[in-house]
Amino acid sequence: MTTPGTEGPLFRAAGLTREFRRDGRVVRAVDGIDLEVHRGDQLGIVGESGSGKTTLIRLLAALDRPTSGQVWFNGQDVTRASSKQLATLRSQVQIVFQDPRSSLDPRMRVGEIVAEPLTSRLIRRLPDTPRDVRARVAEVLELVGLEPQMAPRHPHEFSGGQRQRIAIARALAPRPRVLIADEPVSALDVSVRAQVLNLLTDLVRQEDLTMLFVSHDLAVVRHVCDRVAVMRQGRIVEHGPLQQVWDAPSDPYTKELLAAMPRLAVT
Amino acid sequence: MSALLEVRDLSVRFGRHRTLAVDRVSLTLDEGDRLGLVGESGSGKSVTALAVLGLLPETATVTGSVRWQGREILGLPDRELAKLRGQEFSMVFQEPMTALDPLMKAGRQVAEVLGLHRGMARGASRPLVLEMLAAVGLADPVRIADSYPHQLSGGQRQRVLMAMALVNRPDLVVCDEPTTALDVTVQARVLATLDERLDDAGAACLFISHDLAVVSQVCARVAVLRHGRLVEQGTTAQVLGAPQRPYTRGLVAVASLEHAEPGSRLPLVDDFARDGGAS
Repeated sequence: MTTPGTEGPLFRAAGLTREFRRDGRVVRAVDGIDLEVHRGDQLGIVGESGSGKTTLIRLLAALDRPTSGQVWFNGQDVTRASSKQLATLRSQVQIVFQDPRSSLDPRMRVGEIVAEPLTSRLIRRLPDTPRDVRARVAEVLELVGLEPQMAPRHPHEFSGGQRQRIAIARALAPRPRVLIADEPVSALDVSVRAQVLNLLTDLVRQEDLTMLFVSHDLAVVRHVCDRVAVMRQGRIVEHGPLQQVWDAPSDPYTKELLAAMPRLAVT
Repeated sequence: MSALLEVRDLSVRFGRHRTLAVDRVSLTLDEGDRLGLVGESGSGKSVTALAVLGLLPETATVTGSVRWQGREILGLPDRELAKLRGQEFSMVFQEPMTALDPLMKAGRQVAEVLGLHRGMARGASRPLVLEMLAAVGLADPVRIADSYPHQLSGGQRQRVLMAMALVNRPDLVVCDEPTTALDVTVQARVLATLDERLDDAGAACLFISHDLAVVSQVCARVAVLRHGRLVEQGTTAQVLGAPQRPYTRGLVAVASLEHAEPGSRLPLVDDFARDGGAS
C-alpha cells in the first residue's frame, strides 16, 4: 500500500460510470463523472430522485464498484483495493442516511449503535481508532447534543430529530475525516431540520470535517456547503461555488431547481 | 346558509390514559375555501383531519361537533360516513406507497372509487379514468393505468392518489402532507396541478403540512396548531406577514431558509416560544 498522499485531492473520480440492469435494459446511473474533492471542502450534490446522486457517493465511499472509471481516496485507487486495504477509508469516510427510522437497528441500544464502527473487525485495529469505546460513545453523544445516559435506550424511544443525531454520533465515533450526508434532513419537519443543519454546521467546524452533502433541495445545500455539483441523469450538469450557482445558474435544470424551491408566498 | 364544514370544539383523546391529542379546535370552511393546517409533528393536525373524516380508530374518543353542510356527522355510523367519503369529501395522504394497493393496477384503483360511489361498471368507467389521470398531469394515462404502483415514480403515485380523490368531484379534498415525500421539483409540479384541479372543480381543501412555505402556495387561510390547540388563525397574508403569536413567528422563521446567511446559525422555533409556554 502506498503512503497516503497529503497534497493531491482527497477524492478523485475519473470517467466514473455505473450501469445497472433493469427489466433487461441497461440503465446508466452514473455516466462518466470526473470530480475532485479537496480537504475541507463542503460539497453539495444536488438533483432529483434517480439522478444518480446516491450511486455516486456509494462509489466514492467504495460501497459499490464502478462499471468503468476509477476513484482515488488519498491517492489510493479504491476501485481495485481489497477489503483489508479499504480499512482506512472505511474509518475515515462515514455516512449518515436519510431516514433514521430505517438506518438504525431497532433491536440495538443506542450505545451499541454508536459503538458499532469502533468495534468492527477492520476498523478497530487502526492506530487512530479510539480505544476506550465507552468513553468515545459518551463523548460523541454529547457532541451531537444527547445525554450520555441515553446510551442504554432503544431508537424507538427517540423523536425523528434525535434519531438523526444518533446516526450522526455513530458516524463521528471513529473520528472520520469525511462525512457523507445523504438527504439527512429530507425526512424531518421544517422545525427539526434547522436543528440538524445547525448541528452539522458546528460539527464540520469543530471536527475539521470534509463534507459531501446530498440533497434534492438547493436551499438546504446552500446553507451548509461552499460548492455544488448539480446532477441530472447520471451526469454533472453544473458545478461551481455555491453563491455563483445560486445567483447566476447557467444550466436550465439548475434554474428549474431554484424555481421549484418552496418559498413563503404571501398571496 | 350554513358553512360547507363547521368544526366546533373538537377534542380527541386516545387510550386508557385519555391523552388529549386535539383540544377544543374550531374551524370553518366555506365552499371553495382553502385552509392550511400547520404545525410540527405531534401537534394534532393529522388527528384533527382524521376525526373530521371519521377515520380514527376505536381507541379514540371524539367530542365536539363536526357539521357537514349543516348536518352533524360526528358519531354517524361508519356505513353512512363511508358514503360521504370519496363522494362528497375525499383525501390524499402522504405516503402513496401505503395508500395504494400494491396488487392492483393504478387505473383499476381509480375505477374502483367510481364504482363504489357511482355504481359504474369497470368497462364503462375506463374513459373517465383515463381522462382523470390525464387531468392530474400524467402524460401517458394508458400506460399509467396499466401499471402497478411499484412501477411508478413517487410523483406519479401521488398523482394517481390525487386522481382517486378528485374523480367523484367532491366538495372537499383533505390533503395530509401530500408532497412531503417528494423532490422539490416534483413537489412544485404536483402542487401546481392540485391548485388547478381544485380551481376547476371549485372544491374546498383542508391542507395539512409542517411546511408553511408549501401551505402558503396553496391556501388563502392558515390555522396554526400546537400541542393540539389552535394557536392562531387568519388569512395567509396576515399569519405570515404579521404573525401574532411567538410560536407562529418561530414557524415563519424556520420556513424561510433561503433568507438565512449561509453557514449562520438558523433560528429555531424554541427561540421564539419555549415548550409548554402559553405561546
